Amino acid sequence: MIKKISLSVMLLASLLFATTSCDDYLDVNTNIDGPTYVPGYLYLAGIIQSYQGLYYDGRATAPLTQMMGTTSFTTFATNYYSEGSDNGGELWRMTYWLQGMNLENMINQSIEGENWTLAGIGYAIKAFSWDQLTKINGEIILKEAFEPGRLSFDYDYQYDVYPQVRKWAYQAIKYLEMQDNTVYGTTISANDYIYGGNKDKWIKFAYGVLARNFISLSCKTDFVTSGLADSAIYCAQRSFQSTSDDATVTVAGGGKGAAQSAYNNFWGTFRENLTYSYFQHEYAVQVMTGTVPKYDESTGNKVVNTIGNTYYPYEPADKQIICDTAIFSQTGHFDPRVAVKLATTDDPNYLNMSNIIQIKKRRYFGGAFTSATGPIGTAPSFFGRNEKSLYTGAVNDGSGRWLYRDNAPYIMMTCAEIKFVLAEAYWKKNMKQEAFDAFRAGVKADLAFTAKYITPGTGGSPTGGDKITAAVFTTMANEYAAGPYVDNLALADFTLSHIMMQKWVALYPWGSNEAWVDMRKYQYDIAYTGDYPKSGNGWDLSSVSMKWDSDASKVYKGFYLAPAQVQGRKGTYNALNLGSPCYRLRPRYNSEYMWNKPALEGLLPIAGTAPNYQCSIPWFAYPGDMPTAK
Amino acid sequence: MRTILLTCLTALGLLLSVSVMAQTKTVTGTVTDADTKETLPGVNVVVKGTTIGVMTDAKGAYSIKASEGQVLQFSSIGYITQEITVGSGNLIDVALATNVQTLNEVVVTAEFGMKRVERSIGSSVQTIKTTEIAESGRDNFVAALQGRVAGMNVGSSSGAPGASTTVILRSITSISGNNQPLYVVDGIPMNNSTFDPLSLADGGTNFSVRNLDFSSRGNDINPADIESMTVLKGAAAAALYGSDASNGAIIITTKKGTAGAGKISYDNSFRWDNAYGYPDIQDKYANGAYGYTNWYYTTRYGGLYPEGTKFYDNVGALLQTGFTSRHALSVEGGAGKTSLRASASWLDGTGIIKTTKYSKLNITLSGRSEIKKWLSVEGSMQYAAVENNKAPLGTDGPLYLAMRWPQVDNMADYMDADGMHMRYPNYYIDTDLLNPLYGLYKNKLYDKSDRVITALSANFTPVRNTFLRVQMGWDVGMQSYIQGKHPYYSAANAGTGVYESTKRNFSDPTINVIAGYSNEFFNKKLSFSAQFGYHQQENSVNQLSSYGTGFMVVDMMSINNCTSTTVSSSQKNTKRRIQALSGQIELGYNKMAYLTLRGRNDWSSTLMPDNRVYFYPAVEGSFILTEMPFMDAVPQITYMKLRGSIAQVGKDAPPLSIYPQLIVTGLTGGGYRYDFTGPNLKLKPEMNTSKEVGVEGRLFHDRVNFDFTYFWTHCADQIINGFRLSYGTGFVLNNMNLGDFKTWGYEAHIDGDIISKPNGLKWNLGINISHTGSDVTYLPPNVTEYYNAYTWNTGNIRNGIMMHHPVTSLTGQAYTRNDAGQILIDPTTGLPKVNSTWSVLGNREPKVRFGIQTNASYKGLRLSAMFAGRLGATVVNGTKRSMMQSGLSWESVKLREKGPVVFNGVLKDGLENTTNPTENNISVSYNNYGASIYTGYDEDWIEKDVNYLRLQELRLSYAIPEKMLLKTPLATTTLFVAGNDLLTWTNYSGIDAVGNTVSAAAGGTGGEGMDVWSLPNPRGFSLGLSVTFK
Repeated sequence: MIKKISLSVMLLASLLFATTSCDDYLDVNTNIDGPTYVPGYLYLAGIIQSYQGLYYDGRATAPLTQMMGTTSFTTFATNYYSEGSDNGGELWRMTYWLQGMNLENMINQSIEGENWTLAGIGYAIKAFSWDQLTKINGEIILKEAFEPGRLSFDYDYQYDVYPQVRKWAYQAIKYLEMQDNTVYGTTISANDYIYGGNKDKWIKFAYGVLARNFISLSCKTDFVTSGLADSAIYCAQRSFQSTSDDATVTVAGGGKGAAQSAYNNFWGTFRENLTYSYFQHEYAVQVMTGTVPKYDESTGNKVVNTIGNTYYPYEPADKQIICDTAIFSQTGHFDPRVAVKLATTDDPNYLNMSNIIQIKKRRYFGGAFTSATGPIGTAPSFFGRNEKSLYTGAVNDGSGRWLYRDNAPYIMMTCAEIKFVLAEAYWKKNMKQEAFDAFRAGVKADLAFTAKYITPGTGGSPTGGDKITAAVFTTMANEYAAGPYVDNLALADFTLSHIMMQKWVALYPWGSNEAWVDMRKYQYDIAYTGDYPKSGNGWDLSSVSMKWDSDASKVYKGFYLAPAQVQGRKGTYNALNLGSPCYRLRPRYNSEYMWNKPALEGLLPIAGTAPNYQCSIPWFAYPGDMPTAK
Repeated sequence: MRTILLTCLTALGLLLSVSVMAQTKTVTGTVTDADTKETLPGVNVVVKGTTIGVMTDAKGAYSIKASEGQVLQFSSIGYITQEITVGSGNLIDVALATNVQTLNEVVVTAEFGMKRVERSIGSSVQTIKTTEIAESGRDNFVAALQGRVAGMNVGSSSGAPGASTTVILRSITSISGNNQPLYVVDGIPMNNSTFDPLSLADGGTNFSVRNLDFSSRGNDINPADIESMTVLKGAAAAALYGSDASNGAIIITTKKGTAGAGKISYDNSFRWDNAYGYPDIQDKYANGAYGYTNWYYTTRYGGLYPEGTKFYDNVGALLQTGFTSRHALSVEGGAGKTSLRASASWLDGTGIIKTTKYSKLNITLSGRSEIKKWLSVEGSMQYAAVENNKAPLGTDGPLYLAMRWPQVDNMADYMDADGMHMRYPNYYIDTDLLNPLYGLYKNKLYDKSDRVITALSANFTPVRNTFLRVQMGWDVGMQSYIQGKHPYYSAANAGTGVYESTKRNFSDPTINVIAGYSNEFFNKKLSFSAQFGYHQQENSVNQLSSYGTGFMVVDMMSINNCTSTTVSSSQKNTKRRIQALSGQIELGYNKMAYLTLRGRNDWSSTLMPDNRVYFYPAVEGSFILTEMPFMDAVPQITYMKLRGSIAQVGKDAPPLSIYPQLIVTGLTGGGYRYDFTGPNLKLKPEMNTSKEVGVEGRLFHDRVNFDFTYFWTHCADQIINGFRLSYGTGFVLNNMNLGDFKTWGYEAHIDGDIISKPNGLKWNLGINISHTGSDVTYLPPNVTEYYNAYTWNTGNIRNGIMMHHPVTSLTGQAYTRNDAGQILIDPTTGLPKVNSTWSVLGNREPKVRFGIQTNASYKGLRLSAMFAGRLGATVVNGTKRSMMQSGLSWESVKLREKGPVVFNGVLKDGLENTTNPTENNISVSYNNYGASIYTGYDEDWIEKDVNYLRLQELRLSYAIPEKMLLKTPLATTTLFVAGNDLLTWTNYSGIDAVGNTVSAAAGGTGGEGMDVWSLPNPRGFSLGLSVTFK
């Protein structure tokens, strides 16, 4: 009896003893295969590399700016959107998730640890991303973002997002200028794939974000009077000074030998994203070869040339803005950037990479909005062949060329762009000489930028690469810079078109997001009266009336939307656009349209759920306030 | 090797048949049933006042040492105990009379191996006879349960050997999580996980639950080792077994052997499986489109096949007759109060798809002993080794690929002339067709598991009316999953090969300590029992996955054969721990009314400290109507119980659901970033409340049994894993408490002896019927639908869950309709229009599920049959859609030859909602369109009111009369022939009305009722014998 009772009691007692440390026993819900906390710098590389998202969405905005035509993102090329799809939603994914909490952690941990440099870099990145996001999507989730436990997230209007972006940028400058006693070793330099931890350059970067932000408001009626123009000038002056300041994201590359395919540039041959689904648009060829045509304003037809030029059968407009490369070959008239930025099927075997005469003779063709077949020829792939990109085989594109290379960096913002920002701000302030100086600096910066990434092919071998050497390019660039389109341009002939179109060329095609900002703030050069175009004033259901190139107020000479009055542009938009061109990308489908619809429904003046939400003009493009009624 | 093993086990068993202690004399005899005259095995024969006792053997015979004047007590459940004084003779034959009163004392094995009197249980409990499982002809005891239990639905992802099985009792209780009942073996929870292919190293790039299915671990157990199986439906079971039993529990007690003369038994079976029911492929029109033959196409919308074209049966080329053999040997014996049992069973089978194989080895050792009067112990150890070679499923499966292969080419000839490469079909110009036979022979889809379940328990009786029971158990498994893709199994033979291997081990230790007290008071009018328990449980998973590509030797499947730079590996270790206290008080009045109160409090490791403690109570009551005096006037009702219960159960989250995980980026520079799923520190347990009322009883002197239950369940605060929200959360997926739903329904069972003649002729017929309804009562306003993306396998149809609809809904893009419900037709094309948003198209849950069991026996002959069926189901015929799209079916030929068609509907011309809508009159010719028009729209492939009846089992057995065995070493011999899934009657037009598009690993509401290239159960014929030795 005693034995059995004592045995039972002992058993119970030992079990009770075993369970006293209840909390320890239950404390097993942590991931032992991954850290729960990492030092801030370990987030940095991932945050920076996620900027490949800029190139993802460039596939939507480049067709909208007529930099590219596409057989893939055709809905965007036709100023519509991809229904039920995440296409064009990568910046949303990048900003809220890929950077998102990772960036928040990096910033917050850095502030807490008084690692001011890393905190400053974090804020500069944040300002850049949110600036880009709102410019593309308009209204975005700002105040309620990342709030734990929320099921739905209200949108903030762009006029509230803009000041916040600037605050972050100023915060970045403040932190970067602070004395930082942290010993970083290589923790920043090894993970900062933009500047390797160079604080001065990050400060210039933050000013660049500000300059970009201010200049996007240049159509605002109070742009000059409220000091926005001065702010743009102030910031641009403190931003990039040479192409060595350019913000670019270095990638490892490596083609198929790379441990991860995403080590390669999104546009390189290995990842097969550009392949032959995207190609240079007819407009890009017209602008960069100096063949913007002359239109007969009574019929809208291009005027056929009388000199019997079989390559270019139309009469070019009297005044080309960039160059007259395709027509003349006198010194200084030829813009060598065509040989790099544009692709040609000529010289398939790379025999004339240093032959200036032959280089000038090359022909360039652009495609239509959704077909490589253009008005006078077929647009080649970005790799210079009329077929999809290949990285193997007897004839191949190797690892690509220029920015379309497996190991090319992603371009985020350049000195050239900033100089054009400066030029535009001066122009708005009527400071023509200052604008002209900035313009010339901008073109030269872009020439230097273009040269930087030239990777010539192998002579005699059809295996990819650029069809010009950097040395030859620089020779020709110097001639061009000194010529009648840049340094020798008469101040009297200098127009806003020169600034904006050279900027457009400088942004081609990596900066299509920012080029789209410019085109939208100039209302696509639509002919309308009053503050901004709308149905019945600028467009109707079947066509958009565009300013003629002869109109002095037209900024983008030769630019016509698809449903315009000229030859080759007499299509119509999707009926749901109600005649309007596209003014914004919709937020990511599988984030917002699936799970945050009520927030979208309340947006003004066009509800986010309306079939024409993509046509809702963003605040930055209204000269005054946004309409507050539907 | 196996033979040696079996011999050893046999020897072990024999050694243990220790001889009984010497006594004055040996009394022998046979115990029979006084009514039926049948011999009664398992009757306790005890020398009164001593501890000496034996049990009657299979033939009702006993042999016991006793001296003259002592009293022998013969007792057996359901019979009146008889006492006979030993006289001078040595032979005492006894006929026991059945006793209604004692029959009522039927006990069911319930909580932690303890027994409860049936009449006191207030919730629905059903016991399954293990002989039925053995006789089902299934290798998988879980699959054998289909149709046998009212309200139990056993779904299988395919008819392939080693397919996963999903068991749902009553209804689902979780939108995205596990819905299967808890299996408890000898008081120890058994791991019943199904490996999710997303856990392979490639993270789902090649395989997911929609195209690959691994066996559920519950199938590992050897059915022959099961002594009894009790199904506890509803949440009432959870009050003691914890949240894992929130979907009910299947309580398995393994055989522990019987003391007495040693017993050796052997049985075997041999089964041949044949595929049937595959759709015909049209042989009229060749590959092409718009009526022009073009071998570049896989669609068959080309011109006529030339006269005299030779066709090949390419689907037939995949198939073979599956053959499965099974051998099982067991020995048992023991002396006095100690018994031991050892068994071994070997199963080896091939499937109906070439190269598919399944084998299973089970070795079990178990026993029990009453060491002291106040201490008894029992234990079991089961080892199971399973190996399985499989084929992919769905549109990656061999069936679909064989259908696509041009039938003018002999797919069976899969190897190129060089004997290495995959051969491409003649005519067909493109090089993207994959030859499934090449895949079957050259790829590797393999899994292997070694697993041991041990259980040990000790029962103390420290003082009278009390007990203390301590149980410890450990379920440990080592699993290996391999997926290898041959380099040439790829478009243009241009792959580089993929090899991935995942080693996944689990370890689930459990401790239960239960102390109790029971007594009767007030002249035995009031019975009282109380018990309290402490429970501790751990589920840990330890996984290592490797991945590599770039095979150097093309035919070699090994990670070592991969290019070193491509090899990567990852590990995943998770642990879940539960501590719990439970309590139960049972009050009984006069064996007539019972009230049971239960409660359990859990502490779970998977939730934050604030939320991880949760209590759930249960109350159940029963009332034995037949105890009321007025019921004596109705002698036809021998026993009738009314019962009811209300139970709640909390359910924790899977491990690592609280904090977001940091993972290494795949981008230049590496570093860390958050994974898809965001944090939720406020995650709280799901809370399900279930109510049920029921009546059960026996009629006409127990010839008829019946049971009826009606239940309601409310599932609140559903933990939804991997739920999408706005990226404004900072993440893509979230684990959240979202959504409530309710379910309700009934389960009914009735069986009876239609014929029961004194000459031994007996015919019994039983029917199970059940119905379940459900309704989603709450989803947050921004959540219009929750669905499992892996069920999105045909058109835009998926298992969507929407507010105010059943949880088993199908959603898709419906036709746009006017207010009057007429389909709107696009006035420019003449084609119907569909909505761009999803809406509910049907309910997969049939109106009624039923099973019919019948058996007839006469002397040694026994004929049994088992039917399972459904009425009023909605099934997605994805196979038909796919065949229509590709022009493979005769229906597509009919459509094509039909000439211009005017779609039924009204034009969407602005008048559609007026009183006078424009009737569509635009004729459309199918020939002007490509394959898309034949594919139709989502609603076209939803088949409603599908009825289905399958003859699951038909079996004839014959027990050779013992007289004929007298001169043999055999004690009993039974021979049988049987058929499985012989016939199906259905109005469904596809391959498999019970098809399931995802494996059991998908969880949630799964993919039942979505038939997309399903592989139906084959038709099986088996024969075998079972013998016991003298």
